[in-house]
Amino acid sequence: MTDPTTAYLAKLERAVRELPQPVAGDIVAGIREELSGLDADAARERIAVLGDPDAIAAAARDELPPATTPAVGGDARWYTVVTVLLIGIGGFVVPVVGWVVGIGFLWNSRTWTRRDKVVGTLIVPVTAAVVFGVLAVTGRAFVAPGIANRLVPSVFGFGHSGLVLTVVLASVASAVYLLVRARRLSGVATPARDGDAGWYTALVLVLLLIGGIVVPYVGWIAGVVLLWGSRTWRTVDKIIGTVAPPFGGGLSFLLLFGRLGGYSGEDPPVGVIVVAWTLMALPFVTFVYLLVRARILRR
Amino acid sequence: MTLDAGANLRKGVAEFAVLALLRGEPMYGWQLSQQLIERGGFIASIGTLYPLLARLRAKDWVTTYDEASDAGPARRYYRLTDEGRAALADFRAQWSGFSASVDALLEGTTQDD
Repeated sequence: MTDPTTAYLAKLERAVRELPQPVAGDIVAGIREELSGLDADAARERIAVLGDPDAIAAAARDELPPATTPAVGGDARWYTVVTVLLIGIGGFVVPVVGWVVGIGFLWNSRTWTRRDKVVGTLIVPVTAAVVFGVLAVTGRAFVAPGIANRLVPSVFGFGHSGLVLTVVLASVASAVYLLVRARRLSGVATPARDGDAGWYTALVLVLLLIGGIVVPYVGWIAGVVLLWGSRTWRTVDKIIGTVAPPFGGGLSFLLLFGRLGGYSGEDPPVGVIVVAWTLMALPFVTFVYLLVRARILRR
Repeated sequence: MTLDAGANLRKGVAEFAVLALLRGEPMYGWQLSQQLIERGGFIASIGTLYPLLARLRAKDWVTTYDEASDAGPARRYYRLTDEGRAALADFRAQWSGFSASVDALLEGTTQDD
């Protein structure tokens, strides 16, 4: 393949990225079959006839009725939801493997563009590597010195270093990114018949899940306020979403309780461990619940 | 509004223009695009063609098959199906009546009396 052809096809691929898949692929394949085999001069001539890739993409977009765009675009809704959930929290349910399966789902999907797939895949490892690198260079210990809190599972001792927290935040961030991009591609965000814009829904979910960690208590309260101000969920869902304890609040409660309860040196009773784990698992359950309920309303 | 009436008309019949072109023989994308543009501006750009072809395929009016070419990758050809042939015949029957009505209106005569 000659040089002008390669450059033109690359530009064309970028231009049609936002178009639904069968059409985008057809355009690129149709023009590729026309340009390949031509020498540089002939290709240049043909490219001049074809015109600007952006104009080609714009013409295709005008020809696509907005209503049919989502159906042609991506995968079944459950597939998109499962992919987002696996990437967001799968790695905590089944360590590492859950996330890897999610990435497999992601690359097998038609809901996201290749660029989104790359971004969605890299967010977690890259941020983890950066934080790991910073910690290694600064020579800080990975396990927090001082009083060990046996009430909090040992990984959270590790978490003092920021690495686990980073992975949690990065996983949720990549899930939110994919969620927003999936909505954009499928055109679900635009109609907004029953619910709010996609970014609003995503913001509520993120604030409820980790807002309490980023800005203790205030972040979570902001999430609750936005939840009640939304049109995406029913009142029952809002009550359930509010009653479930915030992640940040639950965690700080545990850290505090662990110290006050004197569980620094010895193992706490099984009942207390169960409560601790439940407190930490609940926000994830709530997150999944609200995500699923938000989607059901949109059908 | 100063919408180009001609452009709207051509857009309205573009699907059937494709069916008419495919009546004789299967054609590939570039061929169709050139014919549609040269023979009356039925499409504005090759970008318009592919969503249109996707619609025709969804209606089972055309099918595709790939055939190796002398140079480069295989070409994707579009072929008229029996349903497509029937749709084209139907359009043709309606078109003559429709164009006669429009002519009559434009000339200011009435058909009935």
